[in-house]
Amino acid sequence: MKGLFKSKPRTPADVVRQTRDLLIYAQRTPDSRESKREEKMSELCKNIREMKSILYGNSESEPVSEACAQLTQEFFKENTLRLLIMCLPKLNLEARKDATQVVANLQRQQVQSKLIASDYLEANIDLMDILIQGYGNTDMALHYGAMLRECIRHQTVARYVLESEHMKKFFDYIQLPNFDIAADAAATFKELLTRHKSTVAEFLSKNYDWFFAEYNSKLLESSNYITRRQAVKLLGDILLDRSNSAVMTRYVSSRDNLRILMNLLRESSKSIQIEAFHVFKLFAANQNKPADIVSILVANRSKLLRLFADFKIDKEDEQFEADKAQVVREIAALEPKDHS
Amino acid sequence: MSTSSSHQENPEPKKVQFPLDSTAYQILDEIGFGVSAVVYKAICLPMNNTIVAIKSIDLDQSGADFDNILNETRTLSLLSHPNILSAHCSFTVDRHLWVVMPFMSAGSLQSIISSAFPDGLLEPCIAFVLRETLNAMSYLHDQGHLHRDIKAGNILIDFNGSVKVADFGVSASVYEANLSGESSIRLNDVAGTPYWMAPEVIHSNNGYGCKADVWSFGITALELAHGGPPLSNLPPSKSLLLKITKRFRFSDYENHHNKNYKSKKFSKAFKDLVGCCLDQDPNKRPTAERLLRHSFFKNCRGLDFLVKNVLLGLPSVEERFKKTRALGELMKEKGINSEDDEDEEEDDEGSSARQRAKHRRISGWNFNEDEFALDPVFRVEPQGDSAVKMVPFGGETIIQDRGGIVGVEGLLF
Repeated sequence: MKGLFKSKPRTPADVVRQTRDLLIYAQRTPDSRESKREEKMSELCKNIREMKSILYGNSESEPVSEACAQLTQEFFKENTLRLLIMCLPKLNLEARKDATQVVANLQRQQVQSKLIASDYLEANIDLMDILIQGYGNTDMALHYGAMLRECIRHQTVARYVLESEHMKKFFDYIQLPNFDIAADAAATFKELLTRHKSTVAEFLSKNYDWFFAEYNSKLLESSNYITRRQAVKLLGDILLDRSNSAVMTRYVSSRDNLRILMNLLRESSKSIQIEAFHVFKLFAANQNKPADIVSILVANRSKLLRLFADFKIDKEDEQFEADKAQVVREIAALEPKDHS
Repeated sequence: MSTSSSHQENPEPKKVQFPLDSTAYQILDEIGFGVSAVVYKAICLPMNNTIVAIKSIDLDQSGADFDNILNETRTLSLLSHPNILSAHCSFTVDRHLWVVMPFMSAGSLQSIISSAFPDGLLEPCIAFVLRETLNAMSYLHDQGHLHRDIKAGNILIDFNGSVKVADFGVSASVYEANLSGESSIRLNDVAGTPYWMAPEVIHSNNGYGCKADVWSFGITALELAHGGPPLSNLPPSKSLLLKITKRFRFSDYENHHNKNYKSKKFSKAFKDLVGCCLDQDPNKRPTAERLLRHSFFKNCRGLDFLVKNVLLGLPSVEERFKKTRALGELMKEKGINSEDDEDEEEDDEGSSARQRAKHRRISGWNFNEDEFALDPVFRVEPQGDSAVKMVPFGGETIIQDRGGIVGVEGLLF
């Protein structure tokens, strides 16, 4: 019958409203009439897919910015995002992926040159708690994780997550045995610690003690190869960032940190060695080395120089060679502090 | 969950969780290897000794690809389609990443062809496997992913004739690139295996879209029809990517071209299908979804036909692997490898101008429907070698290792 009387095409706002109604329905505990529920759930999935194709376009058409703006506005006018996040476990795999892409896209949609997603999230920041806890749930982790990474594109959201108690949990999430989930958590962790420069710098200075204590013991000294490799790479990225120079100066003045990096430098893994070098060079290049750092370097001078003499990377890299030469010069020229 | 493609009654059956611990698996045999990965046949002890394939990737050797690998495994674990080989689980074992997958007992189409059908498969068999491949491509493209390495070596067959596309080692997500600001889909990393690469991929700049997968699909069709992709009949040292794109000796091509592809007959529908996939202009190539409606797939045969005509009596994957590897080692002893090839090229470079007339660069490909093959379009090289555009090719080592013997099981990075 529907075919005979073709209904008038739905606007993007209609699609959102219908989705919202269906989400409210889906959220209720299932009643006895299962057949009706199944029908509604499949309608819900279709609506989510429809939103996706409005936002991303499909094989026939490119997305239209006016339609995207309408959809975004309607979506954030009410609590659709919360409903969608809550109902996600009830959707099938394809709908979950569609929903994730919809949420990702909405974070970047501007309505009258404003990112309204950011305002919404600020007012509903507790949604981040749900997304982060998703890492504890094998079925939901990758979907919630992907949504989370999109949400922390907004600086205020990233700040909330950084300053929350959740931050401590990431040290465990990135070592979960399930590789997909661990890698996803690691990607989020990296994003949190590199994306918004000023927020990161502020976070690291305020939380220096516990953060680097955890970072060293749980990540850099982890028994897991991948964890060590990712952690030393990220540490280099963090410390070499200009905005974190105060944190860097503090980090390279600690003999405990130096000891850890020297151990990483001795690893049999070439990749870890190279990443460790990029951090180690900061200890050597520091022009105000504390006495205990100097004495460690002097005590290990011959070993270090021997190590660097054989230290090569597969590809030719002028910067690396220049850095190495400078580190070698620095170490060779060192004299125990009490002599100077 | 194990080998048969079980019919799903519940729309979302709970995924069976395979153990995330290497001691739960017992390795039986090596069935494939690549630059930094080895593929094993193994059993999962606590799961009733279910047979699995384990791809073990040496993460320490895959320096720059590291982040890619992380993304790929994540992508793969969210794909769910009967024609896509998905992973049961993945976890790390010291420096290796183990990706545990269903074991496809008949191996890759490439390995089937090279061991038992050197002149290609029957058309109805080709139609069946191509249709299944298109199903997978259509799903992938719809999800915003590209495969980037469609070829017979990446199409795997199970004992019951079911077909799964594998190896997303170089696949990429379109959405990610798309969202970074530009509205058009563009990925400029060169990936894939040279014979199967679309012209716009080889000649870079234009980016890699879904239609490049369609080109590779067309080449794969030729591969299945003739027993090898176009130009693979050239001597191995001539068939690297650089030879294809940069320059190659016209005389060599003529010598080898005429010997092959002589008297095989193919249907009009098949020729038309391949013809439209191999259109120079990516925009003119049909989408995977559209190709599924092509007349070539009308009255397509089923699994049983493939089992009866191809799989029966086939040597096992393990046996085939051992044979191929032995052959590879033999070739190495004879010095037919890519390094020698590079040396030879330098000699060429130094040689005189009279040689240069023979060196021509291919400026494009034309599909020759009558011969059912690709004809290169040659252009006389402009003066001096420096004028030749080199393809920025980050993964050259991958190419060298893939071009020859190692793409065997297609499960490789």
